[in-house]
Amino acid sequence: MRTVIPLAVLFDVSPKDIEIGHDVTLNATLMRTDTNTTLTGYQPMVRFYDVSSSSAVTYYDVQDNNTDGKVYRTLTYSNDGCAHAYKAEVIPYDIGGGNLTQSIVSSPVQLTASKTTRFILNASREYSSTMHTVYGWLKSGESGVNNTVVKLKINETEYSVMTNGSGYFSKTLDLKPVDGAPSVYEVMATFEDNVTLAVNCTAWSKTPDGLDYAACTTVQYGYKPATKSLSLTVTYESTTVIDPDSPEQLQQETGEWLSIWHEFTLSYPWYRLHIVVRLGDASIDVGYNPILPFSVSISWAGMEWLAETVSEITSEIWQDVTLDFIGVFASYIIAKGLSIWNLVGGLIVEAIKGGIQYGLFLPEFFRASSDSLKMLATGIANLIMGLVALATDVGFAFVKALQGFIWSPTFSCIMMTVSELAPMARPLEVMHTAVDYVESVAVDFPIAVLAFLRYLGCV
Amino acid sequence: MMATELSPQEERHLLNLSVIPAALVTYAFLAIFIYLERNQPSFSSVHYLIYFGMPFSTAITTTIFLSFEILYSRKAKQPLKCGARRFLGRMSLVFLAVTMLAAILAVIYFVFRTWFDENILLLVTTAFWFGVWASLMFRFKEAFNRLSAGKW
Repeated sequence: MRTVIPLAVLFDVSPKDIEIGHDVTLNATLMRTDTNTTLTGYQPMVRFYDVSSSSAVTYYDVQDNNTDGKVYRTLTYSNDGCAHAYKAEVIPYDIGGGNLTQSIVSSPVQLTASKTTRFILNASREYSSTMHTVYGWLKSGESGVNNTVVKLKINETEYSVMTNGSGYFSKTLDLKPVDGAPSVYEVMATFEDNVTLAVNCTAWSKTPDGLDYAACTTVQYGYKPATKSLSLTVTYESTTVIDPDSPEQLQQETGEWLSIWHEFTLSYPWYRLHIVVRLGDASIDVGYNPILPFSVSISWAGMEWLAETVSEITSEIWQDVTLDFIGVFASYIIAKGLSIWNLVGGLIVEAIKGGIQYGLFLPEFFRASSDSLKMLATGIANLIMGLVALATDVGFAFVKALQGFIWSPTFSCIMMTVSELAPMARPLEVMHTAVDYVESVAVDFPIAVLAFLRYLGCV
Repeated sequence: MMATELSPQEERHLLNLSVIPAALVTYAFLAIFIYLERNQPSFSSVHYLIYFGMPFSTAITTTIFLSFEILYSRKAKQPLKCGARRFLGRMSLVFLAVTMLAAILAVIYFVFRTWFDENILLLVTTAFWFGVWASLMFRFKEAFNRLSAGKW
């Protein structure tokens, strides 16, 4: 007499909430329905089916080598646009004088599948104004989610922006401190996929008496929602971004460094070949028509830091130099207006100007981090002014040498101002008065030295 | 011993020399201040002006004028007290200037601090103080020169 061991299959898939393109593990635990225990001591064969919504069926036979009644198989949930459902069935197996057979239905499984998305979010500020750019990428895996709507909620106002081919988006806004006090702006980027339709797929099995039943049903959505927040603390001088993604993370997440896309337009030049070079979080997009002239278009993104750096250094120098010139001329006018020989009035003005300069410098000095560009700029500006006060020619030479390193319209303005205004102070400067010495020895040089030491992290 | 008057050029040279002790005072002042205050990053510009800037302005001018009197008395072979009136006159000008700055700062700072950034207030104070100070100096030019020359 042949022995039949009736079996049930406890089928499970983990995770239930599948990420498209990631691995899923199919588990089948074989139960003896006669003793209601796990089947042990045999090496049954289980067939795992991968049923696609395009009706393609793939199967994998796995034998239980451990004879513990548990069979596993790891598969990748394919990113082919189709939904996938799974099922497991026992292949009838002859154990010699009998066989193992599936007598009842396997436990049904409900799955969902979707692509996870995540935000990389940061914000930058133009140094000379309160214009802020909130920018970032919407990513799914390593690629960007392109041409989709991202909602940016800044405090209570909502803006919609589109992502480009690499998932990049940005929004520029004027965010001012309210009533002059440091103001907090909460930025929240949210994404919900309202475009992609859900796809269903069911793996059908048959009961022992021949009826169809759904062994596994998968509902595949498009992209999962994502959200990310930032907090900006805005003052007139600076903006602190709380919880941004670090530059290293941005660089790591940005993916391929070179890409090409094609632009077709109704107007001249009708076609442009775009080459996008990406370095870290910065990308430069150069578009041109290979044949037609005057067709070049250049745009860049994520380079706010570079513009910021140059503009920060130069506008700081500009600000410090201007203030210093005003002070120098004030003490000069006082001294000259009263009596060129009586420098007491000029000296008092110079000392108080020095005190105010320290009042403005010291809070920056204590607050600045070690590689603060503001400190570098302050150091350079005070070195220039200290040199101009002591020896105008040396000051000029220094400014000219600097021009070789830093170029910007602002810096040219500084150069012009120094060269135009400095000779006017010469009658006083040639005499080398106590006013000049106080200016350079007691104010400008100490501030320059402290600022450089702070920039280098020594103090 | 016959006291001698010094020429304006000689006086100017002595005033220039007086910058050396003033610079030393500044460096010492700065070093002590940074040592003591480096854990006070929450202070604002106005605090630093009050705690450092105003003492700095007073200390540097006091050192210059005092050093000048010492150098002058040695050069002119006079007792130090001969320059006392000149020193007091100059110091009263310094205190007048610093007090004026403090008064203007107090008015501008307490009235406008709700609406404006502190650095802007400081710059406005400076400009306003300078305007008032310069106009006073030009308006009372004779009195100023007499005070700073010790002839009062």
